[in-house]
Amino acid sequence: MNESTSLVWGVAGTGPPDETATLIDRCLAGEQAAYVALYDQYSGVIYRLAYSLLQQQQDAEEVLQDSFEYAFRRLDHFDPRKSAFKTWLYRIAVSRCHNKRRRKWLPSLSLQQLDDAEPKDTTAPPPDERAALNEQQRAVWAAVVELSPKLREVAILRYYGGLHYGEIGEVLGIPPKTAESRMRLAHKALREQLSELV
Amino acid sequence: MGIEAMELQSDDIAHARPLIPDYVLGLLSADESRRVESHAQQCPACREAIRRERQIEALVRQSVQAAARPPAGRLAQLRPAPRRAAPLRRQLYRQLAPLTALAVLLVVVLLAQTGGLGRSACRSAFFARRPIRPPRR
Ligand SMILES: [Zn+2]
Repeated sequence: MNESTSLVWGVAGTGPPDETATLIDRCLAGEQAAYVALYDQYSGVIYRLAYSLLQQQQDAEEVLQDSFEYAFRRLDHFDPRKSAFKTWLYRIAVSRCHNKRRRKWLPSLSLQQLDDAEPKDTTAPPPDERAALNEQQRAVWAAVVELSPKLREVAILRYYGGLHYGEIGEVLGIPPKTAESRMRLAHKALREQLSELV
Repeated sequence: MGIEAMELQSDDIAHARPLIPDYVLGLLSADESRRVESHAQQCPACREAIRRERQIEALVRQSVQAAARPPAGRLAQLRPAPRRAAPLRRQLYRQLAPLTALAVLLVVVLLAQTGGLGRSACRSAFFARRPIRPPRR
């Protein structure tokens, strides 16, 4: 009955921590194939995280690329005693998502750019992917997108990323208690939106 | 489900209902969690409430998995180019950099003290400034 059993490391499709540690060691020893393997292990998760926060394919792709370029460049700075690799990588990606969102609303943009930056069609994924979603998934996704950015990121990091509140706080630069109260609000909002589904 | 949900609302307090959202979110103390669990073992209504609360998490996870899916083959296209310099070599270089700086400083001080235009001083200044070959420790 312990809730944590449903939130194990495998939640978001990343490998077990030991496997990741070995890969990182191999990267630091200069093995190219290990970088590829590390990217392949985490790129799907980072892309989905970025897409969930930004709802734009191009933005999510840029965040993905920037994040991995930075992470690989700074891999020798990653300290496994301070955080899990996943948490470290999430923090890199989320801060890039924040920058993207912030940049979109800078007053220095031209009117045309501002027009372009207006969130378009935020309630739905791109047309080609929308077709692949069943009705239930579409309704849930709409509820996720409906959350405010602050609640949404906490909900994604918890439900999809499988992070604990301390880790969420670390990723977002907020106290764990703030992460907890945001999660309560997010969960409540989702429950109200999804009352007919559950 | 709808009717069941309405029935559940009637006597929340006697049940573990007020604690259930925090329970599934992992926000209860170990003690409180145990209380919810032992109550739920006896109470189908609370078991059902827990199941429903948990389902929210599962639904969100599945919808993110599906709705935020990258187009097929796209992740491989976005994979960063292979890294040229092994980080270990950079690390070594960084560790030796202060030594190089120290050598340069030493030569500058020497030059200043000796009036500095002697041929040998010039030569050592030339070699010491090349960061590629820091003095061996
Ligand atoms: Zn009960």
